[in-house]
Amino acid sequence: MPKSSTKSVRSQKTARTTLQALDYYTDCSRQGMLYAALIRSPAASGIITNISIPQMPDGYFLFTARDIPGRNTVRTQNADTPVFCADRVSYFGEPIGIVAGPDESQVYELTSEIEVTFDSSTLESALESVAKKYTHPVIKLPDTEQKPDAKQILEITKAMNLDPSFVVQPPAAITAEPRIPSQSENTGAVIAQRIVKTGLFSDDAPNVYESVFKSADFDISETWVQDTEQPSWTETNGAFCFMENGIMNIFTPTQWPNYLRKAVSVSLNLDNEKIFIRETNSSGHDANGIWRNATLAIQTAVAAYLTGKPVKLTLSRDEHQKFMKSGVPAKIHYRTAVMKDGSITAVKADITIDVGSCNPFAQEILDRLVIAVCNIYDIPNICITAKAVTSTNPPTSIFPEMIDSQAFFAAENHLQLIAEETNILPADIRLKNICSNQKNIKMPFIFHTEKAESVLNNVIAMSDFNRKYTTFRIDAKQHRNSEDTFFALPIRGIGLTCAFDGSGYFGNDIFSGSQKIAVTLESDNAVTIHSLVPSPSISEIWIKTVSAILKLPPSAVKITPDMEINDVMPLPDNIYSNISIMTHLLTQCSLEIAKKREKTQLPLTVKKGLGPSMKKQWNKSDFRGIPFHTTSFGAAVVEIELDPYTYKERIKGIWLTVDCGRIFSLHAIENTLRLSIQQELSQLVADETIVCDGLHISFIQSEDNPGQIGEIVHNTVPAAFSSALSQALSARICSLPCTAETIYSQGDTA
Amino acid sequence: MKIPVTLNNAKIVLESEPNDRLLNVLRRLNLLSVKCGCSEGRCGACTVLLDGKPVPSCIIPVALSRDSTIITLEYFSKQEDYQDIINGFKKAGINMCGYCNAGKVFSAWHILNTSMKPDRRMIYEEVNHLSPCCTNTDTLINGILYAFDFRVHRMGVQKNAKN
Repeated sequence: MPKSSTKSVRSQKTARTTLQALDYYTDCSRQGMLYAALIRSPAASGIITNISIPQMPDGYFLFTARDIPGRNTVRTQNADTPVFCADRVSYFGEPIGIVAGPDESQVYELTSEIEVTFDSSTLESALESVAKKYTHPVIKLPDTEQKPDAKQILEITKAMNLDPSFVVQPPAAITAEPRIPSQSENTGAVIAQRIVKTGLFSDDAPNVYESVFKSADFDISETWVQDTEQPSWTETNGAFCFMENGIMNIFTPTQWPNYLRKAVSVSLNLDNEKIFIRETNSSGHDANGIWRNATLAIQTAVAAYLTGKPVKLTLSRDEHQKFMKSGVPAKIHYRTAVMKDGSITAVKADITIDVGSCNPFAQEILDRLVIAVCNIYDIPNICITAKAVTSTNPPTSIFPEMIDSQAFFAAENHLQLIAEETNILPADIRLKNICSNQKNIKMPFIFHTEKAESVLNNVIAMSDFNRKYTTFRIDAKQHRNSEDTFFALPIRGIGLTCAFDGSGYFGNDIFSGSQKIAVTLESDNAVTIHSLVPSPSISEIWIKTVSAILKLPPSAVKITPDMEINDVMPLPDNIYSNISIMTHLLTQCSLEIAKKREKTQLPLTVKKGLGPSMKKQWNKSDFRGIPFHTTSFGAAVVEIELDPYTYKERIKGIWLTVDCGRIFSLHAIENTLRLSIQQELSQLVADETIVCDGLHISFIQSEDNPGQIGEIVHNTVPAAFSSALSQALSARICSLPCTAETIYSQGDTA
Repeated sequence: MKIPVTLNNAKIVLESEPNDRLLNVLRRLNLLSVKCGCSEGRCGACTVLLDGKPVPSCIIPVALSRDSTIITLEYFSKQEDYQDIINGFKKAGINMCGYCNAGKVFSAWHILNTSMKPDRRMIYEEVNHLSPCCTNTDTLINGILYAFDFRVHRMGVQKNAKN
């Protein structure tokens, strides 16, 4: 049970013991607490000329950019974002101010009464927003006398029935807005890009592309989009802040307390030592704890600082879903040159990601997509062009666990398409192109996936993929040609995918290479692992590892986050939970202690960090080499069945085979995968959770370093599902999530 | 509006707007085991026992609870039944996140209380709507079956002790 009370901590020494509390910030409260709500921009762009505030009752406050004691910017990596929008709006829903007061419902009411006036140059975007039926706060149209063109625009508005006063519906979901700009209307700035060319494409010779694709037996191209997102079940983002004895106490689900403390310090003009961050429980699949949560915490801290009272800001579920999207939507266009025997001779991939108004991690996201876009296939000629463009959508964050799944979605679906076009089994296409010989590799990226073929063969055998694929293909053809609508059997389809899960990316200067860990063996044979406490399953793995190496009972091993606070916290927490790197370092520490324990007087402490030689495996300037510390590999088969009349989908079975190195707890790892699959099934079709009749998970035995598996399911299952669905419907499903209507209409057309 | 209820075995009068959500009223009383999840009555984070039935408090106007008995996890966690459920969950390897506990525990309790011998299919029907934020449904079903074993064993021991 989470604790319900809150305690302020006055010194850093005490703070250490409360770094990872298991409570939620929404459970925190104090005497005289004020509730807060954000005033958000009703338009996607433009310049604010005025904010009309209703009569504020006693005890209610409104703060905007001009009230911030320090700087109105949050610096993340090299990007600056405003705490509150001062004049020019960058995206729909950008925070303009914060209202705080003792009654939560009254606070929301006051927020909705605030009017924001825009310069007439912004009218176009204002109208667009009204058209989206967003009513609060009301957009004040410009005075007809002041602007010559305003009268005409007002008439158009009325004719279109877009006057705000006519609109009574609740705000529409912003997700309805197309998030990927098309090539012709791409007006966003390119904030990051990466181009990778190898083989014949590396010389940029004229007409080389056309000649390569013309010389191939098959020239296959398609565009793929995956924008699935985990439904939000748990606590919405926000913060609880209060001043006590000159210390600003911040309770929030941040994953990067060190960064947050610095950001608050700059905005409040307070010393670092006067800010205490209490890291509350993070809400599962939420990437916002890395940096986006910091803006909310600062906004709350500003209100708490200026009112001198405790303030709690909790985003509504609607706000959380609209403005705190975890992922970055990506559109990937693939063109492949394929020979009759199934070998892929060339790939041209164009990746476009929409990072919203800002994303300080755009380059890393893009690089990871580029690395993953050819999966582990060895293709002699590749040309990958990737760019990150800004838009008037809310800022986005980085989701390290799911960063490259969109690339696998595109690559694996395209492989299925190639199989259909070439009449070769999908399994054979993969085995033909898989990179099995590390020495003669033509790709610039090297992955330690030596057991990839075994993984693939295992999942193919387990699921009886080849037989089913062929049968279902014949079935689908017969169904398409059948005129018997009275008696029909269920329509079936099957899809195969494989993907890696890289952990410990060496391409990031800030995050990689900074992980360290220390282990102490006391004189009474007690062992302390000095590190932030990771998740229960990883804690169990660490304790088992140390206990096995030092031949001590697991009860003698404990994990304590008692390192100096500045040593512990420069990175986001999930970096410390990186099982592969940290477990590797922990093993090294333990082995060294085991070696020295007889000769050295106890207590004995050994510290280890990631050495520079390891990072050198990845050549950042040439963008080639080994990009990850460890790489797990998985393959999945999804078999689906559609009702022949309603086209309602049902998954008959999912087969998953994983090679993730040494496994410490088979039970825990299987539970993790089962949970990931269940969560995945709630994202594939909008507003539906697909029923799965059978899950079959297997592992390839290995004594390699343990690898992460958090991403395997997300990297494999969506593509396998859409491939299976495409086969069943005899239509190409190029984007996920799909809707029940899409499936029905595709099925009906077929 | 004054709403008399029996809350966690204590007779009290709630003062609230009649259409205020029971969830909000309970949280204002510092009963923080009741969490706000999907706000649509599906995920289970806000579950309480209302007259012995697990219900989502996020979609129940407080006025509807007039003269009812409400039990939250704060009170229920002191009961023997709770211990059986937690033991069962532990045996199945379930580490609850703290946000969804009420839904999982009260659903388990309802199954154990209404079924002479629960089977997997029946449990699945009862729990498949709960949010899979930290536990997959298969493991949860295992946990409930283990909890049933613990409960039967405890009740058997108690019965033997009486005899």
